[in-house]
Amino acid sequence: MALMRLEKIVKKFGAGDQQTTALDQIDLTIEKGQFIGLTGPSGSGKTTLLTIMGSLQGPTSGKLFFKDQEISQLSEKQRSALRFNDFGFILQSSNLVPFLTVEEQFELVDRLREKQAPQSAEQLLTNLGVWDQRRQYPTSLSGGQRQRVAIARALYGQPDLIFADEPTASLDSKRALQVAEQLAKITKETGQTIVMVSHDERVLDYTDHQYVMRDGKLT
Amino acid sequence: MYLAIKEIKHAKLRYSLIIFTIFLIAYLIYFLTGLAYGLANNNRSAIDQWHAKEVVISQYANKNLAASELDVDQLPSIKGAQKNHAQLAQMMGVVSSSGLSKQNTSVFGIDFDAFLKPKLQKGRYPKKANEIVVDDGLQGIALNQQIKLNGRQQKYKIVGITTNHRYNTQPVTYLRLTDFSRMRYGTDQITHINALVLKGNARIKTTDQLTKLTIPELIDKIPGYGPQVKTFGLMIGALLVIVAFIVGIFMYIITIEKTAVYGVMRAQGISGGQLVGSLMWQSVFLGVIGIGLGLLCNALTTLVLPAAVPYTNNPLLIGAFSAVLLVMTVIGALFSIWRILKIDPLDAIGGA
Repeated sequence: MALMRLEKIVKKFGAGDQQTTALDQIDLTIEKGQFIGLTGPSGSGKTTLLTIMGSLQGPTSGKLFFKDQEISQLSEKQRSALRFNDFGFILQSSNLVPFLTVEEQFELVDRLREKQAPQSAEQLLTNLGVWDQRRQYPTSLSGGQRQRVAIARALYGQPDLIFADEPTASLDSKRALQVAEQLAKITKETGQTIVMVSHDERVLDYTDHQYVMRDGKLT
Repeated sequence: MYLAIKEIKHAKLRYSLIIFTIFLIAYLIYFLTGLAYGLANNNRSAIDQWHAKEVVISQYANKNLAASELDVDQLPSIKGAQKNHAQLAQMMGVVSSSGLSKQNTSVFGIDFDAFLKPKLQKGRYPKKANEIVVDDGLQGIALNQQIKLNGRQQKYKIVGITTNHRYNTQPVTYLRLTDFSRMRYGTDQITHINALVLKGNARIKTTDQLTKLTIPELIDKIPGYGPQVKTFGLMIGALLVIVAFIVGIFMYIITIEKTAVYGVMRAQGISGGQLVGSLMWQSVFLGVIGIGLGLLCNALTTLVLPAAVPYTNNPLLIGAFSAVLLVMTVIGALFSIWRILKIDPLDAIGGA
């Protein structure tokens, strides 16, 4: 069983003459435990593809399956629950809530989630080397620390699929490589799957598979 | 609620400003209410304590007690117990005494055996001619003091003192009907009165010369009373609406500022409902704290205000306005709901 399967996904923006096709008949199958890299020139549609896979928006046409369940037609409410329970996000800017301290980011998830998280926040933060910063607000962390907290946050609750959008864009090359290394390690150790959009060739070296987007097509 | 509190704690200054604004408006509302109620009370307190049902006055008097004059001989018969109806004579007066500046008063001529008799703070009811009861709203008066009324030579002896008995904002001076008659008409014979006051089972058939007013009608027709109450009512009502707008605008600006943050939370799968809940809790917190401060300040104000300011707190009114204020605060926050629900999780990505 494939973890996620895309069938002829099309995404169009605008209407009439202004209409542009961001994604053109994308077929893709993602197996469990893979670290997948998605690259391509800007405007090629790789972030759009990531947002559709992450159920942040629906496709114009085509089908999207998660664990053999079609999720392309879900309501926003159902998608919200799916993102909360099964997906993790590491975003370019930061996916942290600015008015919560590092440990409160995790407390918030605990309060909204019924079941106990399988892996403690302490363990995740310690593994990523930011446990000492747990009482700080995101703004007082360095870029690298913030991104590692964001990774810990995305991993919290052990989602099956983690989507990362340029997770290393705001980091220097040394930090960027460390982050990529950590992501690769996660897929090996826990069997979680990561889909990462990145420009950075060195970072992409850590991925198991690389797909290149060009003008809305996957090659 | 968790998000609501954490955010308020993190952005203390911003939320303090909102609380401060709510506080100022709440305080202003309480202050105006105290003044309005105090002033209204000064118009009617002497009438309120009768606990009567209605009055009969002249048809021509335009529902104004002071303008009414009834010929006692021409009054129709009254049905009902003797103790449930009483005669009232009333006129504006000036109190003077050696060593005292002249003061305005409202003079009531009553039968001290009837239910119109005031509640005494000190002293006793008049037993002899030229004994009177005055309200302590008159400055510099004391028991057994001799005063003059309306420039007459006659001196009256204060035997009883009331408190908070006012009509048309003037402290009331109570005379026996015979003394009133002699002062106004020069005869001990009671020939004319201003009104008949009825309570309980007392019934009267009015003629075309007479008109019957309920006590609330009578009060509403006290010159100046109606417009005054309406003016204060309008001011307070406008403030209650303004508070909704102020909170609404504040919360809306904060919401717009937080679009990216909300986007991130939406991307993580936190539902729009939870974000709206947080907003509602915040408005309740801000409202409760602001209103609480307003109440506190109002209580302090009551302590320091000079007695001359007609300021009376009515717990019922204050309670009701506090509740409305809180509701208006929440209504203000409701403006932002559609904005939050419109926030797309894609905002977190910053454009695809």
